[in-house]
Amino acid sequence: MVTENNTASLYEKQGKVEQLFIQLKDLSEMMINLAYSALIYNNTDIAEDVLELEDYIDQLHFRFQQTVLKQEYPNKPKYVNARIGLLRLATATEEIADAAEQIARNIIAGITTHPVLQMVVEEAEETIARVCISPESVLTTKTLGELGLENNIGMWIIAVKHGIDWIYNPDDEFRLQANDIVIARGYKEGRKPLEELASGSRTSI
Amino acid sequence: MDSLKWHVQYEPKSVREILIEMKNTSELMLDLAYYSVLYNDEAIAQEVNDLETDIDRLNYLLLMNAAMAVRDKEDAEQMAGIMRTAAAANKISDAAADIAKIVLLNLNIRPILRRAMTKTEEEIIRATVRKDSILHNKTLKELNLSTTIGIDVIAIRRGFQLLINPSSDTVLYQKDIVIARGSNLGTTQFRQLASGELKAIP
Repeated sequence: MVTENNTASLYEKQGKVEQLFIQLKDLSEMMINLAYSALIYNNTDIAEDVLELEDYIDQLHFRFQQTVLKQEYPNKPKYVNARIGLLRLATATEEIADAAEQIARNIIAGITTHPVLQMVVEEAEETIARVCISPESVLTTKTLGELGLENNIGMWIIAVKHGIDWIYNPDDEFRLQANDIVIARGYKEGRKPLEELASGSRTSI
Repeated sequence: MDSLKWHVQYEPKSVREILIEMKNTSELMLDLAYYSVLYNDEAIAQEVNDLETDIDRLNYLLLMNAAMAVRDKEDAEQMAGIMRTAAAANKISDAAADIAKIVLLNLNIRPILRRAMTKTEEEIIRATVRKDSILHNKTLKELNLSTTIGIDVIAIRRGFQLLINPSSDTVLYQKDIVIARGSNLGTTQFRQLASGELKAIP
């Protein structure tokens, strides 16, 4: 039996494994939400984001596997088991990302969304919004911490696409720039205010 | 094995209802699967496995009903999208079952997952309802925790009973072990409400 303390000390230095896993988990779940949003808005841009993120997850997954296997663990069975467990966990997140891709492919393939699908997705209380920051937007003038979108309009920014880079889970110091694409999660009511703030048609939060 | 013996017969059911059930169940399974690894909870891991069989059955039922509903070219094209989305939900449930299998195979990865999960966007936690908690003897509807503190109750363990995805009429009692997901702030507040430290819902 592996006791908790043993494996805990083993992972003491494993911040990297942890960080990669957090990204794999959060991104794979975000992709599912994005893929469903792509469906209901029949939005090719969102669908393409999902495909792009799937590539990114593949890279993360590879790095995760490398990191887990590269560590020079003592050659004991319990560490072998923990390693297998970690590899399986990461593979599951990748499967989830694949499922998201499969949903998004519907849009890319030009399949018109069946009204039933829209009803299914709209049952959910939470929503995912994707907005482009215009140069006039008030959102470029402050850090995310100062904007406090979570408290003010109930939307959390979960990812930002800046040029070809993805910034995932940006912190409070993060500053949005014009032309950034923002992906946010929250309750349905927050979608409209976010869209207006991003386009510049609304200037107060 | 029992799971190899089941067979599905056609029964009329709306494709919409089946797909909603598949989507919701697969997402719930994912939370339960992560939870089972986090708390090394074999009963929940087993539950995830069983739900996976339910999803397979639903997927067949969806395909049968979808096949019956198609009348022309347009129907066929749109139905293809529904079938693929159902297949994706099925895939998510497979992934959840794979995660739960980590527990059933006793591959211990709790320590690393514990620390990682406190840093993810949403946390999955469990808390025991104490006797002086304000949660005691209230329905989930009355408490309205998803709106007030942003957490969702995904399962309740009551003695030997396990209530998965409890309805809003479910009453919480002292000694219930409640499994919930939400933001770090929400889960902290929930723990305090369950322990009785916090006397009112913020």
